[in-house]
Amino acid sequence: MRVQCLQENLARALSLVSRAVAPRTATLPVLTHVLLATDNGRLKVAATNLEVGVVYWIGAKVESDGAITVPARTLSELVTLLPADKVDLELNVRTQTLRVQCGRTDTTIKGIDAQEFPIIPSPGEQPLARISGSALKKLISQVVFAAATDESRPALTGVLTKLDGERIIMVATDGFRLSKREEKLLEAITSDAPVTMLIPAKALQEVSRVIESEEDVVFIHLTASHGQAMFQTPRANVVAQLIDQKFPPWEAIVPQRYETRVTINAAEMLKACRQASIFARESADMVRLGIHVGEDLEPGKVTVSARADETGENCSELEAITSGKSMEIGFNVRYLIEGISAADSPQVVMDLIQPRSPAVLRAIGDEHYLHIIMPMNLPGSNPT
Amino acid sequence: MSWESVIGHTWATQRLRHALARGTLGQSLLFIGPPQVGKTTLALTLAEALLAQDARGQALIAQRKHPDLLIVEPEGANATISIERVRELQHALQLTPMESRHRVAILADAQALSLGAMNALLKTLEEPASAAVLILTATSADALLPTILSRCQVLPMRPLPRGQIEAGLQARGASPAQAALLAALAQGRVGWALQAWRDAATLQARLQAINDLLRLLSEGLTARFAYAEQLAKAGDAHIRAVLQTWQLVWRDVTRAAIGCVVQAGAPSYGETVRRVAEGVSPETAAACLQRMVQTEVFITQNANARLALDVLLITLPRLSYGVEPLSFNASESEEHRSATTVPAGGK
Repeated sequence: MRVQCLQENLARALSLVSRAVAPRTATLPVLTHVLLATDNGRLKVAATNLEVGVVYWIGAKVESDGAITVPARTLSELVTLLPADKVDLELNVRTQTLRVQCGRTDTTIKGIDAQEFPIIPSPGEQPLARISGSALKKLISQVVFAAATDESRPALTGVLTKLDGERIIMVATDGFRLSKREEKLLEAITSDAPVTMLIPAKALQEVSRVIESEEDVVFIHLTASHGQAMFQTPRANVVAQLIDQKFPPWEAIVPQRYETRVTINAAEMLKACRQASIFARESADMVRLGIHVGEDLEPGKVTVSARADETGENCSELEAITSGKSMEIGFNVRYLIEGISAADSPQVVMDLIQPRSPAVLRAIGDEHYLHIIMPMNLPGSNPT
Repeated sequence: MSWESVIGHTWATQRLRHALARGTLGQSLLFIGPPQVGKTTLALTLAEALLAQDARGQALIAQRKHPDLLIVEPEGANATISIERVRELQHALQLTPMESRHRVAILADAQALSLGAMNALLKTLEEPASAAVLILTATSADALLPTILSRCQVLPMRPLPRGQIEAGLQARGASPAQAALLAALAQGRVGWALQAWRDAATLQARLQAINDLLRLLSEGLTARFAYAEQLAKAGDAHIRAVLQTWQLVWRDVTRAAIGCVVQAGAPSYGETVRRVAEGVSPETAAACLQRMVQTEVFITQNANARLALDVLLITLPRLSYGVEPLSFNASESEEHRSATTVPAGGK
C-alpha cells in the first residue's frame, strides 16, 4: 500500500472514527486499532468496538492498494501534531508496519494484519430509506438522551426506530421518562412491511457526528441478516449492531387525556429550573411545581421551588397560560431541564392529570416531539 | 479444528453434531470433566461450527480472535471470574452478531465464577438473546450453583482410554513409542498428553514423581522422611500433582496384582508396573491407592502437608528388590519421528 493524502483530511477521519475505537482493556487487541485501506482510489479509515462501526472515506492519491490496522491512539496523536501538508503512507507487508512521512518527519508504526479486523459490511444496492441529514440530526438530538445508560435492562439502552411508509419514529426511555419524535422520510421505504429496529443509543450519537452538512442525504440500510443497521452519508458509513431484545410497549403509557394544561415560556422555565436545581441536589434532584389556574380573567402562574435543609430554598414564579385545575407536582429537575431543552421551541405545553400520573411535554408549533416524565412523590403527600 | 480432529469424546461430538444438524442445540451448554480432558477444545470446535464461514473465520477462531467469539477465563491472583467480566459479556451478548449468525461465549472454568457473577449469569443462561450461545466448562458440577446446572444442557466428558490418546498422538505425528508412553501417563487427559509431547519439562516432572516413588519403595524410613520434608516445601499444587501421579501408578499396580493385563502400551511403563506388582499383594496395593487419594483430600483441606506425607510414606510397602527407574529414551523414538514433528520430550 502506498497512499498520499492531506494531513487535515486524515486528522478529521481519525477524529470521526475515534469514538468507535474499543478501550485499551478490550479482549481483542485489533479493536483498539484503526483500519486503513485503499478503496476505489480513496483511503478508507474504519474503527469498530463490535457495537458500532464507523467508516470514513477521504480523497487520496493511491499508488498501490493494500490494507493495515495500526493503534488508533498512536496514529491520531501523531497525525494531529503533523504539519498541514501532504502525508505519505506506506505499508511494509513483511513486517506489518506503516511508514508515515510528512514534511520532515518520518515515522514507522507497528500494526496488525488487516485480516484480523472484523468485517464491517458495505451498504447494499438498494437502501431501505432516505432521509435528510437535518431531519435525522433532529430525531437523534430529541430522543437519544432519554435512553438508559445502565445495563440492568438492556432493551432500554437502545432507541426503538420504526420505519413505516413515509414516516420514521424514534422512541427512547429509561423507565423514568420517554422521548419520541417522528419525521418524514424523503420517500416511502422500499420494504412492503414496516421495519422496526432497536439501535444502541451510542451508535446513533455517532451517526449524528458524521452528518457533516444539513443538506446531506442519509441512506438507511438494513443488512441481509437483519442484524445491523447502516447509516450512509456521502463520506461516511455508520454500522450499528442491533439489540436483540424486546422494547417495552411504550404506546400504552402515553396519557390520552389531561386535567391541567400549562403553556409556558421555555427559556424562563429553564432558568427557573436551573436555579432550583442548585437547591435540589440534596433531595434527589426534586423540584416542586405549583400550578395555579387563574380565576376568571386573572392570569395563571407556575411556581418552581426546591429546598435543602442544609443549603436553603429557592422559588421562582412564572407567568403561564393555564387551564383545568390547580395542583402541585414533583419532578426530577434534571429530566425537566433535558426534556424542555430538547423541545427546542420558544413555548412548551405541559399536560398533567394528577400528581402521580406521568406528565406530557410538547413543543408549540412542532407536533412531532413528545416527551413524557414520571413525577416524584412530594414529601408530605399521602404515602399510599 | 474440525470435528474429526477432536481426539476421543466420540459420544459428545456426535451428540453436538446431531443437535446442530437437527437445530436442537441448546443456547446454554455446560461441559463437565477433569482438567485438560478437552473441554475448551470441544467448545472451540463447536464455536467454529457455529461461526466460521471460511478459512479466515477458522483461522481467527483458532487464534481466539473471532469478533463473534467471546472467551472469559479466570484471571488475577485468585484466578476468579468477576461480576464485571460477566456484565461485559452480557452487554456483548445482547447485540446481534458481527459477522456470523451467532455470538458464542465460552466461560472456561465456570467454577471460578464468584458467587455474585454466577447469580448475575442466571438470567442470561435462562433467556439468552436469540443469536447467543453460551458454553460453560467446569471441572465438577458440585462447584456450580444448582440454579446454573438446571439452566444448561450438561455434557459430561470422561477421561479418555489410553488407546484413543495414543492413536490421537500418532495421528498428529508422535512416534509410536512416544505416543504409548504419553498415553500411559496421561490419566486420560488428552490435553496433558499434547502438552507433554510439546514440552519435555511437563513429561519429565511426571517421570520424576514416578521414579521418586520407585526409589522410595526400596528405601528405609530415613530416606522417606527426608523426601517428605523436601516435598512438603514445594507447595500444595505440586504435592497434589505428585500424589495424583502416584495414584495413577498404584491404580495400575493394583490391576496388575490381581492379574489384569495393564492396558499400557508403553513397554517400559508396563514392565515397571508389573515389577512393583510382583512384590505386593492386591490388598496392599488397593490400600495404598486409597491412602494416596485420602492424603490428597487432606492436603486440599489444609492438613499439615509434612505430617500427612510422613504418615503416607510410613505405610508405603517396602520391596526387597529395586525397580529400574523409568526413562524416556529420546533415541527410541528418533527412528520413527517424521521430519516435521515437534521435538520429542527427551531426558
